[in-house]
Amino acid sequence: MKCNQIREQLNAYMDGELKGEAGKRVSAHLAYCSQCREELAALTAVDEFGRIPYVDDPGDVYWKRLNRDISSAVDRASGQRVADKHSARRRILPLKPVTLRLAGMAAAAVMVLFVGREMLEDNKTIPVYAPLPVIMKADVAEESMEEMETVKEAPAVKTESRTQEKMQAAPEKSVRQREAKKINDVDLADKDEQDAVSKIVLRGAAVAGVEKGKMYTVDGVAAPVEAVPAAAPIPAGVHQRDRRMAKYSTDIHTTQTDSLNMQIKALEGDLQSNGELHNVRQIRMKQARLHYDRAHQLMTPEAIREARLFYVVYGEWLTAQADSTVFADKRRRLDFLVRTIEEK
Amino acid sequence: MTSESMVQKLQNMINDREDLRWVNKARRGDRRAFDKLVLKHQKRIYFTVRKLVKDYDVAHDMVQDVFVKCFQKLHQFDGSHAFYPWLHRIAVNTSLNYLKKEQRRGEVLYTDSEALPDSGGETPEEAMVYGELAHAVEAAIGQLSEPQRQVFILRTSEGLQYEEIARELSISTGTVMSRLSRARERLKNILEPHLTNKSIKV
Repeated sequence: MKCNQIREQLNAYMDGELKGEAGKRVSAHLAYCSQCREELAALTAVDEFGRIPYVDDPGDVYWKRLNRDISSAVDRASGQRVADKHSARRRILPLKPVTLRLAGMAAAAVMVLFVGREMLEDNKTIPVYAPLPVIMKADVAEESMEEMETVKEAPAVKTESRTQEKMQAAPEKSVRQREAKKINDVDLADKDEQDAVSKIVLRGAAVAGVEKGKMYTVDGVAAPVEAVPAAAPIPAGVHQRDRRMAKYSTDIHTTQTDSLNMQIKALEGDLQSNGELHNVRQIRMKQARLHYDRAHQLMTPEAIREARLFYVVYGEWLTAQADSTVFADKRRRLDFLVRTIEEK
Repeated sequence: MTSESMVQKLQNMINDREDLRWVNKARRGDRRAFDKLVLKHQKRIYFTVRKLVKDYDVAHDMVQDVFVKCFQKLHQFDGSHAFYPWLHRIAVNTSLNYLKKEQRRGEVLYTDSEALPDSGGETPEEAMVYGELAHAVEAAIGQLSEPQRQVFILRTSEGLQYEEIARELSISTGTVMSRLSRARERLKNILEPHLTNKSIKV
């Protein structure tokens, strides 16, 4: 058998995919052909390259962040599942591509108009969490921001989680620990004996504008706010850790963050020149990530607000587009950060 | 069997047991047990995902999705096998689904035989100047075309068989073979300087 015929089969041979006679033939050839042996050795070495951990270890700070993000994504998913089951409210309307594209453009206009602080500062009443299909109403941007304040009426909804019940019963200390552990904890929904969300107890920092007795929506479930913490001592575990991390990363990334902003703007330019739907989607996704990273690295109110605004405007759409729970989760995280800023 | 590999085996067994205990607890609604599973496996899952999807941000999001899926499907997990392979499967599937979707959306138009121009990153040559093998490898793998890269990683890092790869990517085993051999050939040429005496030179 000729060497070139053998060479064609070397890959399959080394992967153990060459069965029976064919394998034996290659073995026999290799026994006397040193050139083919060398070739095989080279290919094997290439595979060794593929197996070395060539992806950099991003380091402990990153692992912690990842862990936290996973934890809140799972929290959110488990909450969302409950909401999905019981309320028809969270359906995302099927839109035609053209509509989406227009919506995206209209929303882009909104961005241009409103990036900055006035809007958010005026709008102090930020509810706990209100998943809103902003993008569906992109043509009425101002209303969409107001919609954040809307109170939805919904029947009490059953939930599955038992951990929360336990949490409630547990002594305060362990509740605190838990809060410190999970930065992005929803820490809002409380429940009564019937295992239904009947009231919201704010455990975290005080939220500006949230009043006792008023109705607010959590994960699509509306309930009155039962208790509001007083002076908000709790940014403790939650907020401080963010700060610490932010400090750490600002040292390193100051220049990088500026370039993040530039990248965001450059992408906006790309959008003007290329408005195909898949490009819009991709660019918006990129911008969302850049915004989020930037907020995280700078940790300034402006950066956080800008990022949040972006997620408010595009979050729902992106979630639908990217088929991922992550955008909504980041949005919620930014909501939380804005709340802590405002309460300061 | 050497005593060392016996120890290894035993450790694996203990490891798997621990996983199963946590899985059972998590199934009963214990979030802390699930968090433990996350903490234990997140690194490996991250590396698996990262190798497949390349992009750091996408990988970050993807890992979250993987664990969310894992959480949601936990009741389907068959406790008679180890947990990690099951989780790993979810990670590979999620990554591949993402890649398929990206491809279908036509954002990147691949051709099988042509490598895409490396967008901005280091060239393998540059990386080698710094003498960093890991970077050189990353850059080299980055030079493969997307389909080649996928097949190569599924085979080497993830250890899948041809048939499995074919199923995952919805291609024929013949295509798997040709992509794999082209990928290896290309890597061999790029990494030639690192290949001496038939082994890796660091």
